[in-house]
Amino acid sequence: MLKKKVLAVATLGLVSFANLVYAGDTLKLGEDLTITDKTKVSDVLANPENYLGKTVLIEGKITDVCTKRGCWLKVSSDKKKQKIVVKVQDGEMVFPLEARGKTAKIEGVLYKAEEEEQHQHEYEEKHNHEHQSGKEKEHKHKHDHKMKKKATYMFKPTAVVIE
Amino acid sequence: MNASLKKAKIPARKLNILFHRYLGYFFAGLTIIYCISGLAVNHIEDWNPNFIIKKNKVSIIPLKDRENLSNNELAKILAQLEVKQKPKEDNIFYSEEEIIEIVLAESEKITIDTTENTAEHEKISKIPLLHTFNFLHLNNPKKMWTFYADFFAFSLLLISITGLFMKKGKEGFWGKGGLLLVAGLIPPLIFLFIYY
Repeated sequence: MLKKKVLAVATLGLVSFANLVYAGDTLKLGEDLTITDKTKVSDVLANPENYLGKTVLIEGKITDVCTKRGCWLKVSSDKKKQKIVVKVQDGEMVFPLEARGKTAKIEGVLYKAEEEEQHQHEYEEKHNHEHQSGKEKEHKHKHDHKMKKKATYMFKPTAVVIE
Repeated sequence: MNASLKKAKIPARKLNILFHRYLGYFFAGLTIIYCISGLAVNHIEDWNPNFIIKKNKVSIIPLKDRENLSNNELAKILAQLEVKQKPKEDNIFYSEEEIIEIVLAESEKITIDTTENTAEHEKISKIPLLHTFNFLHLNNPKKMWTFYADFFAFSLLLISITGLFMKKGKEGFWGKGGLLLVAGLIPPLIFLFIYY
C-alpha cells in the first residue's frame, strides 16, 4: 500500500514538473527584451555595414531551425529573397523545432560571419541529418569553394521571444 | 532510526557507506538517462540524436513565376508529395533565391527548388525517449532544472568520493583501489597531451 502511495506521489510530482517546464505558449530565451522599436529585416540587410555591432530588435517568421543542436534559426524578411540567420554558440540558447512557422522577436547584434562559420551553417542546413558518405564529402569540398566568395551577415541574439 | 542516529555517534565509515548506497540508488535512474544521452550526443557529427527525418523528393513541372507559387501549382505539388494538409498563405516563404519554403507544421516542411525543379517533403519526428533524455541532459529546460542538475552533479561527486572509501586495507584507497584510481586518470591525461 505504502509503495503504491509513494509511486503515485512520485508520478504526480514528475507530471507537475513536466508541466512547469513546458508551460505557456510564449517561449522566452536569453535575457529580457530591452528595445521596443523594431528594425525591419530588409533595412538591416539593405545596409548591413551600418548595423554591425549595434543592438537592434527584429521580427519575422521562423522558416527553419537547426535540428541537431538547435543552434540557429532562419527568420524571413519583410521582403522576398531575403532571410537572416540567427546563430548562437552551442548551448547558449536552444531553439526548439516547435519554433518553425512561429513569429519571433529577436534582440541582438548583427555581425559578419566568418567564412568557416557560414560554411558550417550552410552545410549543416543542407545536410542536417545525413551521414557523410564519400560523395557527400566531395560535395562539401565543392560547396566550400563556392561559399568562400560570399560575405554573409548573421545575427547574434541576446533575447528571443517566440510566439 | 532518527532517534538512534542522534544518540549514537555514527562512525565515518558507516556514514560513507550509507551516503554511497542511498545516493547511488536514488540517482541510478538519472545516471542511466545521462549515460544514454551522453552516448547519443557524443556522436552528433554522425547522426541526429533527437529526430528521425524522413524526406520525399519529387520532380515538378517548372513554375510559371518563381516568385509567386499559384494555388494550382501548389495543389499539384501537394498531390505529388501525397500531402493532404494545405499550408497557410503566410507560411509560404520566398526567402532565398531559387528556393521556396513552405512550413506545413513545426515538424513538416516542403522545399521547392525552382532551378532544379524539385520539391522535397520533410517530416520530422522525435526519437522516442532519447529526445527527452537529451532534453534533460543538455539542460534545455534551464530554469529549475539547472538547480536540480547541479544537485545531481554534486551528488555524483559525493557518490564517487564515498566510493573511494568503500573498502578498507589492501583492496581500498590506500592499496589496489588507489592504484586503479591513478590508472584511470592516465588515459584522459594522454588524450590531453595529444589534443589539448
